[in-house]
Amino acid sequence: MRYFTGFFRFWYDFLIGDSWPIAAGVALVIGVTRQSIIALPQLAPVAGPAFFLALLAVFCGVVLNEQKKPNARR
Amino acid sequence: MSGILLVLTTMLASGVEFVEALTIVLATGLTRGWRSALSGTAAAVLVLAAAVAVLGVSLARYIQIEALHLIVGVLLTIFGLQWLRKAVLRAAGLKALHDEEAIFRREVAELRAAGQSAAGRLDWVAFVVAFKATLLEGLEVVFIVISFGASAGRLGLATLGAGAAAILVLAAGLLLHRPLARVPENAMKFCVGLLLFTFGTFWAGEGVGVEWRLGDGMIPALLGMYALAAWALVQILRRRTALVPREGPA
Repeated sequence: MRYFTGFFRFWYDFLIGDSWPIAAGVALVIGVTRQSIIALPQLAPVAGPAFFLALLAVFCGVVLNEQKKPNARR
Repeated sequence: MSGILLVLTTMLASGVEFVEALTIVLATGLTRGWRSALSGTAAAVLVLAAAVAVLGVSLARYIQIEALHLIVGVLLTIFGLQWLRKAVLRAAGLKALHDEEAIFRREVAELRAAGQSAAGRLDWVAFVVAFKATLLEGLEVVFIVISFGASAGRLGLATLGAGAAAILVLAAGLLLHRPLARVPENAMKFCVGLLLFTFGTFWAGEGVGVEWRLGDGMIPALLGMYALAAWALVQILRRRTALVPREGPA
């Protein structure tokens, strides 16, 4: 049981850490991109910039939102 | 394809993959400790060697490289973003520079309370990151050797090219790790976060079927754009923090 909880905790810390919006945002971007390319394979050569911009938006959104948290240093 | 051309082609193609693996192993070793990073690398090399010994040339038929790209890419993207977020917040003054020291002290105290020793403990995060990167890049090298070598009917020469690339990249890594260790901690974590995010984006993109226009040349382009964005975020946060009035008695 200890090893099971340790294993679960390791992957939780690795993937979620102290910012769940990162994992959720990345999962959303990857899921939407994958489904879009499966539905419309002709998108594959032009999907790169959109994929990059979506991940960049996740990064910027998470970092800028961090400043609004009450425990952020002033 | 002539013998020399075959050796050079496999050497260059494998060299690119070895450099990608080295970048991540160096980054992990410098920031989280060499023992765990090198253990992860060694474990991946052993798994690869066993797979090649058992399956040989037919290995390429059994492994879906796209699936591996996706798994490793997603993990590195998430992990890299977490590091980069913290590094940006530290650089902007919104997070303490040495909060890891407090975390480390807390972990050591917890371990002591549990009757274990922190010395000799493996950092599983560093192990997993180094293991996955080495396994993925190593598999790509195996595929390169098989595809170039088998199609030319000269597997030995293709292996020679990949071996020469491995020695060159390893030598570069040995030369680079000492000067890199002198870089300030948060600057190093900033760079590591950027690198993991960049490689993660590239591999996850390949895993979901994105066709990168520049191929591997897209990696430095992504790195540059992410670095620019991270730098801009630090400037924005610093400016906003300066504009917010400080709390407490005047």
